[in-house]
Amino acid sequence: MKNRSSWYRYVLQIFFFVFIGMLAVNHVLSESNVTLFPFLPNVSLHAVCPFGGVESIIGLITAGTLVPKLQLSTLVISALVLILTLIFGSVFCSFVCPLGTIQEWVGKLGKKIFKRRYNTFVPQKLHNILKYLRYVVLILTIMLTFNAGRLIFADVDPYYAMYHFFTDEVTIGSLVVLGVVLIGSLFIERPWCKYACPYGAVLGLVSKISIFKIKRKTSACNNCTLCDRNCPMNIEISKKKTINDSLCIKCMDCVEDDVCSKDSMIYTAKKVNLNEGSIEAETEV
Amino acid sequence: MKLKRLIIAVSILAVIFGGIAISKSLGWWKTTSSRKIFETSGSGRNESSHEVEAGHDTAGDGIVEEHASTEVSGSTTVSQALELGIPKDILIEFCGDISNKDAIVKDLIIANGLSFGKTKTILNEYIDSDSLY
Repeated sequence: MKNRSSWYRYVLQIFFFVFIGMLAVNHVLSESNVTLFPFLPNVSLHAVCPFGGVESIIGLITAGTLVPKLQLSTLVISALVLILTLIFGSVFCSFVCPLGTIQEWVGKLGKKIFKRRYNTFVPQKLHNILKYLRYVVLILTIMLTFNAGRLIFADVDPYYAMYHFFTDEVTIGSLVVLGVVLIGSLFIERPWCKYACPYGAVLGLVSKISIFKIKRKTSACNNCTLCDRNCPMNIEISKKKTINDSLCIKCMDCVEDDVCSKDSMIYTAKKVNLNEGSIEAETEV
Repeated sequence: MKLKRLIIAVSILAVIFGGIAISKSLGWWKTTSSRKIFETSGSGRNESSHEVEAGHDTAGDGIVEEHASTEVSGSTTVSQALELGIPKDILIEFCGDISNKDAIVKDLIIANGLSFGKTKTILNEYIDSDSLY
């Protein structure tokens, strides 16, 4: 059961999904001297893609340069997302990323079709292996981008394909990947985020040292494992005291959605005694 | 202190749009570029660089090496340049409006206030993008 608090996340997701879409349409139409949204700037999505800073990392370190198509604004956005991640964890994935959003929307259809079987098709053991794939994608992307000197990931990037599918700028490869991701979302929640997203891999690692973390009061928990079953990222929450898994996208589903009848999940910056449940004395914002 | 989604949502908007506003005021928010040309002399890269005057923006964030063989010439049209593999957004960056596919690239570049000689080098680099870095 979702409560009102979920809507804050949904509203932000819709806002960024539409906003980035409008930027993309504006930029594409500018080639024909048409401006559909005059109140928005004419910028390429490459110029505001936070992953650009990561893709260019070797060139930035060795020569102080960005790959063509990326701009200084790319670095600014990368830095801002990094700051957010250091404070809150991977909230970019759950509140902002349009690709994550569309996977969630398709996933809602999957939930209606498969009901309780949804997001259980990948065995936990296989999931625990597959989740490292995104690090392989990350390393390959950085190395190949450096070698090629161009945005090589754009050839398979479902995010770019999603906003430019109507242009001749997208490759068949990226459209195929987008299709596979969307179809996969009918069976698995956020398959791209879990198994392939190189930017999620970076943010997941950074979020391990974030200030705010989700914690489980073991004194209040009755090990019903409802939190495990509701976690979109298949994290075994009931086996942890602090949810420091790099897959955690801080969607807050386990904390705020009335999943836990014992209120044993909290999202806090404080060090708390999880065994004695001393949370109650804290001030809630 | 426990955080809720509302606080996170507001913080995200504040950090992203506040950060962009601050970076704009500091002159760091550059969404288009002018590119630096490093002329190749022999096996080494010449230290001196020439910045192409873009007229409206000076991010200077890319390095493009000059090569002996060029593909874009004074008579190349927009459609030919696109066929050569030069990305559309790069062409727009240097030529402005490219809706007329038969227009001469050189004319558009000059009309855009840029040096054709230097810009041609940059455009040709996109054809041989493997030699970047």
